[in-house]
Amino acid sequence: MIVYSKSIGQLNISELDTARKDKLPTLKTLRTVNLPLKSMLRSLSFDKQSKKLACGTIDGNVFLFDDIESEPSGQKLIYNHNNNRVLCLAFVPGKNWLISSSTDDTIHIWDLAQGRTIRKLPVGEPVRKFVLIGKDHLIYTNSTGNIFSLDLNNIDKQPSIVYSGNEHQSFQTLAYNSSLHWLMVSRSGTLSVFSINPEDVSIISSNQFTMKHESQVYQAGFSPDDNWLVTAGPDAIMLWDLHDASDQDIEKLVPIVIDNNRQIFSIAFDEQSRYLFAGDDKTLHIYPLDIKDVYTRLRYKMGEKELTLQEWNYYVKGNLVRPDRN
Amino acid sequence: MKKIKRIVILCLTTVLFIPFNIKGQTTDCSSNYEKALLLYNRGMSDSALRILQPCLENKRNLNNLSDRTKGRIFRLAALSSIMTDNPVDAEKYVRQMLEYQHNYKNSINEGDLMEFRLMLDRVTAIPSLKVCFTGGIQIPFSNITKQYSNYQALAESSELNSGIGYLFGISIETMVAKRLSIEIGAETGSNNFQYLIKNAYGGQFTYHQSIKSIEIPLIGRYYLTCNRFRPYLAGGIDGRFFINSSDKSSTYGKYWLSNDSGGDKILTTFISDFEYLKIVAGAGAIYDLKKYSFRLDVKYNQSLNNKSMISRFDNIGGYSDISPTEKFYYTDNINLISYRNLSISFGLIYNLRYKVF
Repeated sequence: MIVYSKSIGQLNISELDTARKDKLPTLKTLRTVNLPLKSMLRSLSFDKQSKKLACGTIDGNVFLFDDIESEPSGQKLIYNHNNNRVLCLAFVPGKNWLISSSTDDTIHIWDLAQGRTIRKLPVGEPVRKFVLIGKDHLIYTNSTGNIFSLDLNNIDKQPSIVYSGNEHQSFQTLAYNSSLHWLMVSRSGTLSVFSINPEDVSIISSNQFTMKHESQVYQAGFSPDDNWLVTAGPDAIMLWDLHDASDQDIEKLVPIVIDNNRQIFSIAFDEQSRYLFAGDDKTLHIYPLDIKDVYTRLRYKMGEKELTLQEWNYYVKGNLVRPDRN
Repeated sequence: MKKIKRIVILCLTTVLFIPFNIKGQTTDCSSNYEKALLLYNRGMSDSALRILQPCLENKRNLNNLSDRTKGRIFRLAALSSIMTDNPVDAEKYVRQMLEYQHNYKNSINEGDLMEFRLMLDRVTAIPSLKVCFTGGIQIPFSNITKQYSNYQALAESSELNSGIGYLFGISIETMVAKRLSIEIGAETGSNNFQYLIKNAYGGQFTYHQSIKSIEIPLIGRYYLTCNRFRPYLAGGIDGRFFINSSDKSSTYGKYWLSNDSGGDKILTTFISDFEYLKIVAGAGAIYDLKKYSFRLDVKYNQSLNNKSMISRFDNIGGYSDISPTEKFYYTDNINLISYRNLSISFGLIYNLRYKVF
């Protein structure tokens, strides 16, 4: 199931139609759900176990859907971030919590069982992205380039600094790979990877990808199987194959580059890590991760003809120059 | 001493030859815009905003730029503010953009973010100061309050018919709120009547009368929408000054004399309304183009009955009750009329200034 919002105050619940072997998958809308208040969505989070979905809006509302797969979905407004946009949302596995950050400079922890806020942590500036390391730690960055950790077993304790940025340049986004124990952060076009000890969230080592993006990277994420990393900026969406990656050869990684010339607002993988979804301001783009499969489908579609390089670039690598097929 | 003199002369000469075009430090906002656009397209919205800041903070730096470029600068600032999660500033810049590109909503850029479009929907650039040139027609609706005829013109039946008159005017309208405006103008127009008499001796004669006036309307308008096509309701007062040559009686007030179409009968007309004031109610619609707008205006002008004027005729049953010293005593018919009219006008509006609401 794919949940996204393309209209104000509305959620689209769709699924990927992959039935036709000779065609690229298409998005099939199952139904649309209207939010109780008409507002533009800024963040979404889904809890696989409970089937709960939370969404945050640009005017500070956080809505909770008890079961997004059923109808009615039981949506309700649970709290508001002082009318400031909700930047990031996440369910904490095993704790039955929902955590949100906002431009009101707070991190809000909501206990779903008790139905109340259990911690409103002032963080001094908006936290655009945070990640959870298991159920025990929440990691976020700020404009000084520091990386902070909030102990979720002791939420009244102040967050601790796990990495001190000395360049006074902020990180734009971060992502966590639970298999490799990598914390990936982006600063301008540079991606840095910290090897992290998940027990006490201490940084063991840090590595840097060679700068690949020509623009700032605002969106990044690891696939559910931890075999792919995606980074997205207005210049390109880059897919990093981590199947054989280890700490030692990070710098040697070469991404698959998908051309892009728009601001990317969200990025996600499907549960089986077979497709990548990238949402810009108007369109939800779907990129299959199995390039061989795409190639086979395209060949089938083209009547078993071999694809030219131009066609390959157009269909697979997102080059927008339509190939001339005479 | 000679040396000091030489130094002073040298200093003065240097000062005199300093070019006088030295100005305070200015920012080339056009070039800043290009740099900022490049940064924005690379996702560096913070940096784009930093580069635009001197242009956004000091409007003097924008002086030499076209409205289109100024609009682009504020558009980029708004988009960058959205990307840096600062919707308050973004909305402020959207408003400033509309001040320079008030028609932007009609030519939205492909790359505009959805939130930017939402902000655009919330604000409207409306012509706030405009000059309007109007032309149209006036249809009087008049009735005779009282009438008298001398023994020769003794009316067996009479009819007062209205004829269409003209109307020309110029006005200035200013918006006082998003939907509310005040307009003051100057209009000149004529109200035409035709008075048909059939007398007791089988004769028939017709008086054509045209009452011309200059009017100073003060109108309040309430616009029902804020789109390009804006219907409105209007109401106000109208100062009126008659410009036809008239006579005045110390007892009965101002009156007009007019000959019948045959030229041998004379009609005296008194107006039973307040001379200088009437009230106005109406409706219409405006359609905005880039710099001009068109307006169709329909107004109903209601004159107010002047009871003191009417009461002067309370004891007048016929010519015998009028003093022969009155000049109009020798005319054939006397009418005391009350008139109101409907004006339909078309206006061409030149929009001088826009305001963002």
